[in-house]
Amino acid sequence: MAVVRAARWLSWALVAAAAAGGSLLDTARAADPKRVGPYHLIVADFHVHAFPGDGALPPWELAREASRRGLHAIVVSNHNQMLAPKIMPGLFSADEAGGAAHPPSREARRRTRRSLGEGGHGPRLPLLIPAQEVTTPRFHLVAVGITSTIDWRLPDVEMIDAIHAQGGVAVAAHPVGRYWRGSDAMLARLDGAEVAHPLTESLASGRDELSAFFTRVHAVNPGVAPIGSSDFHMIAPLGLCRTYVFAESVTVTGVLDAIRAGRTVAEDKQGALYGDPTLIQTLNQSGAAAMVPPNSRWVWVSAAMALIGLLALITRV
Amino acid sequence: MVVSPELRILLNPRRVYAQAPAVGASYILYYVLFFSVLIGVAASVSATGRVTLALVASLAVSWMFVPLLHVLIAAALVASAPAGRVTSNRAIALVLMGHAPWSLWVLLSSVMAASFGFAAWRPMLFVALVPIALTFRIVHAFCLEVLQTSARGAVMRTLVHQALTWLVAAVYLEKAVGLVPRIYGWLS
Repeated sequence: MAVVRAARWLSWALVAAAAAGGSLLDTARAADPKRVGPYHLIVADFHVHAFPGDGALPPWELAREASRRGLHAIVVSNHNQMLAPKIMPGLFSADEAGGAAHPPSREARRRTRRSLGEGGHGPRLPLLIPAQEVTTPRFHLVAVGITSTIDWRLPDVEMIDAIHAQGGVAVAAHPVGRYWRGSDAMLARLDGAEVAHPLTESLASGRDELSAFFTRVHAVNPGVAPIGSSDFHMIAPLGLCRTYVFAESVTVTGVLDAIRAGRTVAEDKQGALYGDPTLIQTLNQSGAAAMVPPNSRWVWVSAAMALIGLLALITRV
Repeated sequence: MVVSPELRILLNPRRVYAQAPAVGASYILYYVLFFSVLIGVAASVSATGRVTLALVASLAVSWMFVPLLHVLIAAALVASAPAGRVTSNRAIALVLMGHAPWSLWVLLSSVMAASFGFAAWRPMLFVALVPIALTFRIVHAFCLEVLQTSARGAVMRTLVHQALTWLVAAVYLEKAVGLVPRIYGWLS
């Protein structure tokens, strides 16, 4: 029995040592958004799932991971519920235009003041923007910057109007195949559409379908913003596809206004850029476009050690 | 090195449960801790490719409700046959010792996700058929050997145990993924 206990303690020690080593290696922090002419160039992921929900990471860990991956803003968009901003309002950034995520807490107000530059501390990043992935039988829609859940049973156009009434913006989520059977009347009201999404990897025609949908929306709605999102649940990396937002301020309002004005460039996994050619040129000249920073070899070693420790706990004594 | 009791249950549940390994109520606490850390590490690796103390602790605490629900469902199973040959706490611990199939699947899933990204998702759903079948076999053996029910009673209890487990999972899924509108979508 003593041998059993000693072996288990050794396995636990391996897991703990791996996590401690991983903590020591965890030093990456995102730089502040670059200035490009009159704009702040905010790197954002507009479709991220969190715990509690079908995302693995709770919001505070999403914020840390966003910093590691060079993101300045993430949109927490769970399916038909907004438990995370309801339970933890202090973690989320407030929309200082009035559409705050629930009654803003003292912490949220403090962060907003910082975002506005008051107090001389600069913005606290990354911005965590409350949202909902409105999941209906016919389409999915990311309602960004809303304050309370949108009823998925609403008719198409009324749904987008309800999002706008809350000060939010409506982004078509992975609008391909069975995920998009929305009406044509919706297209003119959309604020953005995902044109870069990981399903371009899993669906052979995904890239063409996303581009075709964006072209279709753009024909009736020239101001629609191209959006790149990772639809992150529990498979790395966050920010695999991303959006470069040309915002007038590093705030939720700045991000939402930029989407309404169509001032975004989407980037997919391969680094292909989608959007206004002038903005793409500006982005390329700024040198801000970059792929997701990979983890170092030693980070993987520590992760492998932890998994081996757990495997030993299950199979051996 | 000696094979763990959890792995021996996976390989030959009837023989191990017939011997009713000496395990105390403390194993229930150990299981909750172990499975929470398992989820914490596995989710950390698949979601971020790294493990840190803060990340593992955050995820372990967030997802601790999963092993706690396992304990409650195991307690319901044990309570369904009070005339078993061991105490209730020991019986609950013995049910929980059958976690190896799902624990190994969780570990394998995180390795696959870290190695192959999104391409790992669908294969791992098919691979999940293995722990489903093995857990059915383990719970059935537990009912026969530890609860000492009839063959028919063991099958019924195993079915109810698994149905209850998946019902709880479905309730969480409904809230997590918007299952109802998706079902409407599939039907239309």
